Amino acid sequence: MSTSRRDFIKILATLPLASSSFASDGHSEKNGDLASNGTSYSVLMDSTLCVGCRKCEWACNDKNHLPNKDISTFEDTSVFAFRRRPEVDKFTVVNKIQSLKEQQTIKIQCMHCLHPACASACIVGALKKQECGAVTYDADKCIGCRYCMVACPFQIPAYEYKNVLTPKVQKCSFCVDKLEKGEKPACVEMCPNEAMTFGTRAELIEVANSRMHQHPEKYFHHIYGEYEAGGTSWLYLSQIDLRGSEFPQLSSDPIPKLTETIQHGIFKNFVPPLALFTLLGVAMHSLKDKDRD
Amino acid sequence: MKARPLNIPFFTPGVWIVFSLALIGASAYLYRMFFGLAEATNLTNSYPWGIWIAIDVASGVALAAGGFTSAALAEIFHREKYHVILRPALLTAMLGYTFVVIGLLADLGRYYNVWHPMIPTMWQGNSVLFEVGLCVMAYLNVLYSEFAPIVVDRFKGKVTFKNEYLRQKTEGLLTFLDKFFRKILWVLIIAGVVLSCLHQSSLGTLMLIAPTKIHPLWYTPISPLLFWLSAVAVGYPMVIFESLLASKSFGIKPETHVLSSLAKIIPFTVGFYFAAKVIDITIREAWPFVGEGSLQSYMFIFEMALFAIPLILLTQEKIRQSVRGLFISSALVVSGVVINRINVFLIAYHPPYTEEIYLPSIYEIAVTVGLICALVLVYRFLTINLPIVTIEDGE
Amino acid sequence: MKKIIFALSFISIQAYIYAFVDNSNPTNCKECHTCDKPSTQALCLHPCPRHETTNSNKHNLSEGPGIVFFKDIAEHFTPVKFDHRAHADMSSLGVEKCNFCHHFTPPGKIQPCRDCHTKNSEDLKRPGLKGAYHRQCLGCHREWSHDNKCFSCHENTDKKTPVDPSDKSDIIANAHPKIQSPQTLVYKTPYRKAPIVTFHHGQHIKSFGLQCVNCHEKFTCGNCHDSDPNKKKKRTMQQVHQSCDKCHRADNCSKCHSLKEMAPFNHADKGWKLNYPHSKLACKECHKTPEEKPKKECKFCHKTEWTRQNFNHNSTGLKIDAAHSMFECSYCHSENNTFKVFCNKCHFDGRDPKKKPVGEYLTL
Repeated sequence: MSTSRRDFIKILATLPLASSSFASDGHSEKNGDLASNGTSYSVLMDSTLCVGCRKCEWACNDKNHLPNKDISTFEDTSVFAFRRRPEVDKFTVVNKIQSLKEQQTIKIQCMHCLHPACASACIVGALKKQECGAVTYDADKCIGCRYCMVACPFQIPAYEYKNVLTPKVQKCSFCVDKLEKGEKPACVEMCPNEAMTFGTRAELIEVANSRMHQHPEKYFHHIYGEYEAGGTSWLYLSQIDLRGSEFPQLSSDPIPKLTETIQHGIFKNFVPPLALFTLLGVAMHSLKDKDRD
Repeated sequence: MKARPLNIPFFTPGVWIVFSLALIGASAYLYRMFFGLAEATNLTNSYPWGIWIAIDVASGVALAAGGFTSAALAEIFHREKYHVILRPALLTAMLGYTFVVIGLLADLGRYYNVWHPMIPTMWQGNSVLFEVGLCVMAYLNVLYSEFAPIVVDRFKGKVTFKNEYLRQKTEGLLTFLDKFFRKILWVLIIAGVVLSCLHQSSLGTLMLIAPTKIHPLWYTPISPLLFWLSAVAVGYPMVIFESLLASKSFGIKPETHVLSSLAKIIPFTVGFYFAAKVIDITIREAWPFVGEGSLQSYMFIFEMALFAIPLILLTQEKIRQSVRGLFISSALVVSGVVINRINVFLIAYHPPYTEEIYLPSIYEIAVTVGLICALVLVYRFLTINLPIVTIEDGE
Repeated sequence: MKKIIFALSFISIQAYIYAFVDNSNPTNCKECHTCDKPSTQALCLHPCPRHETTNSNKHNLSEGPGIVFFKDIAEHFTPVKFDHRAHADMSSLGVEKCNFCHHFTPPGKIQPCRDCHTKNSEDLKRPGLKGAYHRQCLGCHREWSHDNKCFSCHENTDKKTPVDPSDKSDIIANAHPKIQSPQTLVYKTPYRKAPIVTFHHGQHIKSFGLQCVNCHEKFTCGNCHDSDPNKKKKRTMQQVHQSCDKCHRADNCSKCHSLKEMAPFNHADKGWKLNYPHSKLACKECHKTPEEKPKKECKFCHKTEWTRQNFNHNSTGLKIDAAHSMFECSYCHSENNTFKVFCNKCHFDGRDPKKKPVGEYLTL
């Protein structure tokens, strides 16, 4: 009896160490800091300035060594008949805004959320929100569970289903290597009309607001991504309300807020599982004694 | 009354059918391994999860709940008469989780990295899947450790090596293992229950990360509680279901009196789950969605009915006493939980930007059916060769 | 008792989990304001020259450069040869003139784009040189051609074959042709009672002294040069009437609508057939407001004290001979009504200068 008591205490002592990882909610707090600090980069995409030349698609393919075609072929506007989605071989697409009669286009890519659901979902931390603002993917860690694709509210990550042995999750990386060198993402550099502005998030929100105030007739008064899903690094201005049209209608809560709250609630300082363990242990021992009586 | 190996042939005509289905499944499994997910499955960027997750993993884990629920009943709360169901339930749980992992490996794009979540540098505490993964992995070890004494039991004192030295050493090792496992068994049992509670509920948290994609009938913050309650609810029906099936298949008399008294608990567990579900829908004011006439609403009604019918049936003493009544009502609860898991992971999942829907490919179906059949075969093989089933004396 | 405790704990677990969900949705000031504490004095708006400065300079077409060669930012495409003169000529048709493109022009010489729009702009609110060029060009060109073709301006992407900036042969540098203005337009409208509307376009321009832009507001190149035949804009009832309503009162339909084509306005119908030079005047020269009815009296408009010496009677169309030119004005004309003429002071045969054909001499 005494030996098993000692064992019991030993196990009690080792368990929290083993799983302290999900017992603390330090990770989400760190993400919260990222949202507010000034070094996190953003892009403001003004869809009223997008001319639909699709040169950003060419630049993205070029930068990421994706299958690419001659630059002149990107002037083909027949693709606007469909609402295309980012794929494993194209991280960004320019789509026609479906609800508008005239040809007005908008660029779609990873939104680089401030509280990315994909990164919260990732079982091995292959997807990460970097200090610079990019949500990056590390294929070497990935186990290929595709939970990130379930989690993403913008339906961005694409999967190399056709790759038998080393399939990857593919999405825009915000050109993180260029960002770290102090350069702009390839698409932003390429855009002839400067429909995209690159800067820190706070600056860009101010730019967006001043544009809306100066041309109230030109813009729908809303910055998509300022609060959606707890904020995204890519911000959008448009002549229409993008909520529920080109982008989903999202609350200002970070997408992973509920799951993280539950998860860290269940593992709060590892108390609930240990309490259950102790309770069951006590029940087991006391009921056994009673049985013998 | 002691569990012992069965003296029956492995192959019967029925087993041959199951065996061929398992073989087809194995070929489909190999097809996926050689030609990749694109060839073998209908998964897309919009629907990254299919029946391999919904049935093989989520339902598989739920149906293996018999292991921890009966362990809790017999070992922790010391209802000694239920000891006879312990070993079959443990075997079901062990095989269930083993096949969950095998099924999961088919679904993982980089299955060879499946060990990554164990490496501390890759721990990701925010991920619900990480929690489920670690718990399942730990629980699998607990199950194997709990099962080890049964294997030891089978061979202890019966080692027939010609070489006397080797025989003695093997016997010595078996005796040591027997002692060791007996000593730590109580830790294993409690740990098993705790781990089960954790990951059974966390499976319910999984889909909460997609608030915009999950139908409001199933998107509830108490989803983990519902998953845990349904796992508890399906534990005993699964034991009854599997016990009745096995006794029919093995040609032995079912333990009707044990199963009947076990069935007494079911109305409470299923009732709690059902009540929680009704309260949840009421609090969230989601009843209008039940009547919206969509596939989702019909599936919800179907799922609820699969719980409501056995809930009523099993309150009847007469039905609890009859083998057929027990079998039908427990089968209903089992299918209710399976439908619930399919609903949460597939039917409720509605991705944006697409009109297409997901239907499993023949390879996906073949693998799922094949895995179930393989599980049945291994179950049969182990029950024949290891002391699992307790047969009443005089049989 | 056990059951009650069990039920209570069960409900409390549910309540506990519900408590996780935060439904609060605070109103956010930042939805409208960029700074933390906006006030009526400081609305957090940054001035931009585009909207602050207007050009008071008047420049001649010839002052601007002929061909501009944009080569500062050529990266993926060849540089663009831009015929500044032709574009300046086009923009001279509009109200904005040079300002149509040069939106910020302090007094003096007009600044080139790159003075403000640098290649790598640090100011996020100001487009860089590339953006400024493209936005300026695409503003008209996209409206005009409805495509996203880069090659309308950029010759090709092949940088190995450089473009010769001195070669002006491939640039169509014609001045904008003179716009033909229609005299009379007859519209058939859906107004059943009186479907025909006759619009005397020429008379409007002449009589009211109008410029094109006075009516054709906000017209850009694309209004005429629109390659999309489907884009014929359907105008609403209100829009159709808008340009007429500005002067004509909308409540009187028959003013414009009738059953047949209407003749142009004739001043003679109002009792005064206008001769030269009055026939050359715009309406407002005499009618200060549309309602004003000036007296048919020279003094009403002409403030000059006319005498025998300073008035050339020949300009009225009635020439007078030397004998008559000896009289003071008032000898023949009534003091209060210039058009009342007395011949009977001398002639007693009832003669009247009005019956004299115009251009003939009035003789004794």
